[in-house]
Amino acid sequence: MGKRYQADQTPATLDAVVAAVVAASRYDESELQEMASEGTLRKLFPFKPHAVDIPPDTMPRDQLRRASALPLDRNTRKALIQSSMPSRIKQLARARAQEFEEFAAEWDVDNGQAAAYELKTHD
Amino acid sequence: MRDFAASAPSAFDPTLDVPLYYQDMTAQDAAWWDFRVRPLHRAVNPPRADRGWFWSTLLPFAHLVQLSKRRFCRPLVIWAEDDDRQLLRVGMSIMIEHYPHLEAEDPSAAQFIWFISGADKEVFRDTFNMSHPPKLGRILLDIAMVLSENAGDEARIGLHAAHAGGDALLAIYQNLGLLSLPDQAPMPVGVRRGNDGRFFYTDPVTGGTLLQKLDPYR
Repeated sequence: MGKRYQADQTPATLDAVVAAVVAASRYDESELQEMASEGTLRKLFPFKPHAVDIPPDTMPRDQLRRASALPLDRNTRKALIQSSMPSRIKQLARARAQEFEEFAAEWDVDNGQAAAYELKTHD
Repeated sequence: MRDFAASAPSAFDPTLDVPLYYQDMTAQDAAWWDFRVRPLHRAVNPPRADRGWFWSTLLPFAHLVQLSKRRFCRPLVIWAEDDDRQLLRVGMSIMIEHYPHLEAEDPSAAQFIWFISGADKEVFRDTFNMSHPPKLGRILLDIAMVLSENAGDEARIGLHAAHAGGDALLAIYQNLGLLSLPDQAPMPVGVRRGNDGRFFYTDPVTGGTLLQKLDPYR
């Protein structure tokens, strides 16, 4: 469709994203769901995607990449997380790898945290 | 391994089956829903529980928050064929894997349904060239039970009915066969918030029964 979201005016520094995630992690999922419904989640996580391309309404069936009903393997999961991140967060993460590493280290990096940490090195 | 349902009844004609397809959600899917569907859903009456949700923010947010809690999200998109047999997004779901099961006395894990949205049938018929949008309520729950069973969590799922959905949303989940967590029940370890009487779940027996009901459609 060639249309794009307007760029977010909030300066999405990596420090700001990390701080927002840390703050949000203190809430339970039902609380965060309520914030999303009330429109107050933006106070906690004031970021929007930066110029994401809007795909066409439809696609042919042969272009579908069917989702597995099984748990995802590590590489597929990592790619999925990458594809979910606005490019600006990825760029910031790459540019400021040291800060991101420290962010990950705060939580005693394990499998889940390792996936977050690796955001910095992949498009 | 149990697979996702391959079809669902039409929301307008329950005698018709609508083929369904599933794909892992990307930022582009979230952007499409926000740009094309969200404005139309916001105009629906009575107001929808998801009217304030902005999927382009929820998707990365959900991944990042759950990673910080050492869990993973599984966001999926449901597709169905329009009248020209092209695929169109009709449902969105963000689930959390290995979330604490809501029955506190059972220390097992469950698939937690965090955010789900299904196409409004009139909106999709009138705007998106789809005469028979699928009825998705049961399907959106089934996806979580399938993933739970295949992950070894025995079809245990949990969810919280957003207050924005009012009593109508509670009735929907009850009618779909979910168990209501009594409002005096303690919450499991790892869930700090008090019980507001709007949590629903399945145990292995209930989940197994609900899964079997959709087996003819897989």
